[in-house]
Amino acid sequence: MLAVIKRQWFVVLVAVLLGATIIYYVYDQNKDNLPSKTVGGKDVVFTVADTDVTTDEFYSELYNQYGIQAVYLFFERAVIDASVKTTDVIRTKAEVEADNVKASFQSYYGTGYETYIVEALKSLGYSKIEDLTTYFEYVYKRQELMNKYIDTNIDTLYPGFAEINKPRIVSHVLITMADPDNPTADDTSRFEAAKAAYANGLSFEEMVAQYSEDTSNNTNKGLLGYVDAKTSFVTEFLSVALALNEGETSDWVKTQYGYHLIHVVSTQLDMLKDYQEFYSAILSNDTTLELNIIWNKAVELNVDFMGNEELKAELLKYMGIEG
Amino acid sequence: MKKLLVILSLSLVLVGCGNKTTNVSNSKDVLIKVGDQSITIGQIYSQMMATDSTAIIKQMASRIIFEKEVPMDDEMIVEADTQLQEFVDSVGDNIDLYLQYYGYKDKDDYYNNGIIPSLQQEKLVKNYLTDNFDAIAAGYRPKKIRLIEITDAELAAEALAEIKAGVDFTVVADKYSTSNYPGDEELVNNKSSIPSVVVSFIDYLTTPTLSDVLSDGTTNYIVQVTNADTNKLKDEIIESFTYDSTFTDKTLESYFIKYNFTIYDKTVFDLFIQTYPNYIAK
Repeated sequence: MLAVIKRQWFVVLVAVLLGATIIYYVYDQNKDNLPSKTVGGKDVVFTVADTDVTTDEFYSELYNQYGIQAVYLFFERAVIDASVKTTDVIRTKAEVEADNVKASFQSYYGTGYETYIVEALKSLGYSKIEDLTTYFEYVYKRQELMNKYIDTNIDTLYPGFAEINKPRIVSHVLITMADPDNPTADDTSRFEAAKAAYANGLSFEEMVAQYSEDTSNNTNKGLLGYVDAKTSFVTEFLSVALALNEGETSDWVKTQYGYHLIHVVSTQLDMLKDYQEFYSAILSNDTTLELNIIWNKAVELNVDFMGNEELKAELLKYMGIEG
Repeated sequence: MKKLLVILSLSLVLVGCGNKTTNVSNSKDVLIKVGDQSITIGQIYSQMMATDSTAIIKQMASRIIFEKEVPMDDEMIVEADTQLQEFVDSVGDNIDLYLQYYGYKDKDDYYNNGIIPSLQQEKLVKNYLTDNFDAIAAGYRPKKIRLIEITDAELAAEALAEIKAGVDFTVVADKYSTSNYPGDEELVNNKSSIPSVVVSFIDYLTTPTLSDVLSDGTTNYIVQVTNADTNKLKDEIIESFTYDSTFTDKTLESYFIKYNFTIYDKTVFDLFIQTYPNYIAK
């Protein structure tokens, strides 16, 4: 043996050095790892005072506090995934949305931005950055499910909603003023010029093109979009916008932003349905509607609680639906 | 030689086998099926763990420690019964509403998981404060003081002269005080929310002392240390510190370490250490 070592001393030296390096590497890679423990085949989450708490005990305690919220989170997602296909359109929209969110987080948080996104995703039942697109696919699929339900049941849902909320599409002309109660000479000059033009017969569309100073829409016919009684516009503007009939234009209206001409483009259902805000408004008009849509769809899909009637009752109670 | 190389290679394979994420024993059991989708117990477990598992871990581990250190005795049962009855009397017919608001299923749940752990924790904190009183007293240097705040410097000087002439401190406070400090005797320590100029003056005093007019540049204070003997004030200090969250945390940190609190799940560990870094031995 000694003779072999003497004869192949260099090989032995290399083997010893390699062995030592590997041992240190293994130690270094594992020194911060947590130990693991099982009792009776069950994982232990933590030990204190020589008492082992298994995952099953921990699950039970967690479930008492957070269980039904977690069940609903997955239930709703399962209903949506089972009832709406992820089309190419939805996938593309979700990818765009995910990219926008990533860009926004990156500009705010810098290089570690993904950690913050993953943290937010965890609370929504996802676990990794790639899930951001999946999350937005879910959002768009959910929207599609809700919109389809509203379209199918529009005869029931719309009349009462329209009577209370007066939905419409609105445009405006705005002559801006920093302080309309104390207009500058320039403010007055611009406003007088606009007033004179309108009095001399310029159409609303021409007024928008030639005089409106709202740069967010003056190249788009002054279109503000969907408006109803719950839209968060200043009161002076909103009350006039809701009082007009389709096709009518108001007199000059003073608000904190300056002077407006308000025009109701349409109150027709077909045009309202071009706006997602219309669907959102119908959903928020009845706080039970979304949960009922989810439950009705689940029933349609033959939801199976695997014989656990207690879970079914608990979930229905959480959703505010009579069993 | 070949054997050695095989052993070394296996060692490399074993690298990274730690840092386990735990799972429930029936994690693959299906809770609900909808269309082609299934919801499993494992999914619910992972979601709940990611949501807020740290508070539950702390609560469960604390309960185990309470049973070791401060098990329920007759005195605590009487106190718990009294507290429950007072609660029932105060909320009347709205009891279910209140219990739901506080997150309890029913009266028993509130009694067992609200009142009793709270009493046990209170007793544990008192034990901790008693056992560590000398060190805590030396660090926080509690003492009893009277304090007056007077905006005007000349009036502050007049007030000080009256106190030195023998007028009662509270009478002078009534006459001159321009703040919420009415001159009443109060127990403070060097972390109390009182003006820093006052803390600096009283911090190392060990005998009753009257200050001169102390100014922080904008207002003036007169402070009188009435008792700096921590041994004589011991019961009062312990009673006061028992309900201070700083000492609740210090107590639990101490007992979690003492009872070798160990987490075996990487996800739980990472979350827990963020919120309670001192509850786990380094």
